[in-house]
Amino acid sequence: MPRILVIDDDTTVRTTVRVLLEHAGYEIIEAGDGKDASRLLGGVDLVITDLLMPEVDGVDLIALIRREGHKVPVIAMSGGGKVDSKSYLEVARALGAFATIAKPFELDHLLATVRDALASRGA
Amino acid sequence: MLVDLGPGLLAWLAVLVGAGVVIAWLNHRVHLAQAAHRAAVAESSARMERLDAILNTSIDGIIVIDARGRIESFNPGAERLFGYPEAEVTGRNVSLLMPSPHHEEHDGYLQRYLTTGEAKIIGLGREVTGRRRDGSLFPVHLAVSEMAIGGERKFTGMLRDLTRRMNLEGQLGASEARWQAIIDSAVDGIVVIDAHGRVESFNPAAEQMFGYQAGEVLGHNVDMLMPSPYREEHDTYLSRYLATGRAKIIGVGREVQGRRKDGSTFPLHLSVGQITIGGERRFTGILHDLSSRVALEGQLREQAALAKLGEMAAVVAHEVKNPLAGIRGVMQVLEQRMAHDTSSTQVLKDIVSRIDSLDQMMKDLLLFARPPKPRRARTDVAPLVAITARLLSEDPAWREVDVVVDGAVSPLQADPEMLKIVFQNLLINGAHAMQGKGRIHVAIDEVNTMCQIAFSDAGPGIPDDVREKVFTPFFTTKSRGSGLGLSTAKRFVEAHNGQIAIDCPPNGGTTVVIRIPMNLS
Repeated sequence: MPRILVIDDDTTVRTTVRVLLEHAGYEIIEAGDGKDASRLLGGVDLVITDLLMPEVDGVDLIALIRREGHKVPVIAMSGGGKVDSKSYLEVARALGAFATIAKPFELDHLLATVRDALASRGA
Repeated sequence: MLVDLGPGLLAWLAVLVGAGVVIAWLNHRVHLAQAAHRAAVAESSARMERLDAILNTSIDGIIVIDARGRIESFNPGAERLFGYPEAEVTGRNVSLLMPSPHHEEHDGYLQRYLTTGEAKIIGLGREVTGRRRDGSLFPVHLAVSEMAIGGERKFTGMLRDLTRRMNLEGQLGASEARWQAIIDSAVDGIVVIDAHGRVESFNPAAEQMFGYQAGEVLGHNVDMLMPSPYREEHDTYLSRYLATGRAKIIGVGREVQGRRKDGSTFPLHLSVGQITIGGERRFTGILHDLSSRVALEGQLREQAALAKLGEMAAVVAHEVKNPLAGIRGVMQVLEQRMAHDTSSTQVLKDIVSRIDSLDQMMKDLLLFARPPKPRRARTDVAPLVAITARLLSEDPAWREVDVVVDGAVSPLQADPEMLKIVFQNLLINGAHAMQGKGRIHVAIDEVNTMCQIAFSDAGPGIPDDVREKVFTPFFTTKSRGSGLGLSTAKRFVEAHNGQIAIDCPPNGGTTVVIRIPMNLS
């Protein structure tokens, strides 16, 4: 069962993603910010992270993952009415995020993106 | 030496002797008369001296005039009073001691009295005005009596200076006037009652407080100013106090309820003092209206209660939001799995939309209860309103709402996210008021270094009694809604040191005006 680390400072977003993905057959671990997430990276098949967070934000986290040589694919989420989320997503992509998702997202879109990201690991 | 004593000589002698006797007798008579006269003179002069002494030492002025008004006597008291020496006035008309018009008319008075016997002052005495030598006037009490000396009518005037008494009276009057002025201008109500509870004095502040004119209260029982049951019991209190001397309120002061003319009651602080005037007991009540203080206390209590309620709501909202997100997720999963069954997915969509409105309500609650601190940035108001309006128009429910933005101001330091929420709440209210159809006009302007944004809708307006409450949290007239839209808007505007006000013009509609300082200072 693929293990997915979901990082968002908003618990309701984490809960939503957890519910959606658990029912799709994935194992979910959660973190409230980039700092906590950095300690949970081992054995994770996919990282889904929010970009705008207090302390260590999503962009820093992606940079850290790459710096430490983790091969895990990353999906970046942003939006929810926050300004400039688009440019954040572009930065994330530039840093090597596999895909970006704008909140709020459709279930189908999330599932498809997750499937694609997990499939990309072998490539 | 006498050689010839003839009869001629003798006769002459006899005549001489007789004459001598007569002379002697006459002399004797004269002597007697002289002695008597001397005695009489002595006696009369003693009496005169006594009279003089009285006249001279009398504090009162004593003036004697004849029937034509000429001064015959003017004692030192009169000299002191009028400043004239006796010599200067003797023989002159007494009217010189009077001011006009008596000065001119005194001869007439005298004449009238002498012909008709009708006295206006003689035997009566009254207050008149005297005129001193220097022309100054002074109040004097004059008593006139009439006498006849040697068949001649004369009049004696006794004059007592009233200047001092008048001064005293004036001072008394002034101090009374001062007290009256103090009582009249007192902010506190002052009510004086007698031992029977009848109102004797009711000052303007008391009039203001109770809505009664003094005339409506004076002479009535003071219990008319009290609500039941005090009203019925006050006479008992009073008689118990008078009988036992045990005071429940006198000299203590406490909070009681007052009753206005219109029947409404209000809280007041009453302190009662006791005074005895002319052996009669009276009670003075000083009344301080506590309505505003009580209202303020109520407001503070309400605010404290709201803060607590808000905090609790925030905790609940926070705890509710998470499971709600879970439920929503599950519904989405179900929806996906039942994609082939359109009637079931429709039901699930309905559930999700209801969860969404519940979630929105939790968000509103959190925003109100835990308002963010403004994160100020350069904010262009007009485009921000336009963006918010566009977001609104994306909602199908508000598709027929037309938002027109007019005017612009230079950018201000404000939190655009918070202002967006304010604008959104006001636009939604306007759209609601127009049943989702019509034009909302937003006028942006700079007024006295404030950025003014006025949202006007073409709805029915807000009744006065509702308008008072629209900023009260959880107050709503909508069947659905948190009742937090306007109170949150108010909070956010005030967090920007701004103001918000609602106006309903007589020709309909509602205008909500926001003012935010252009400069942070």
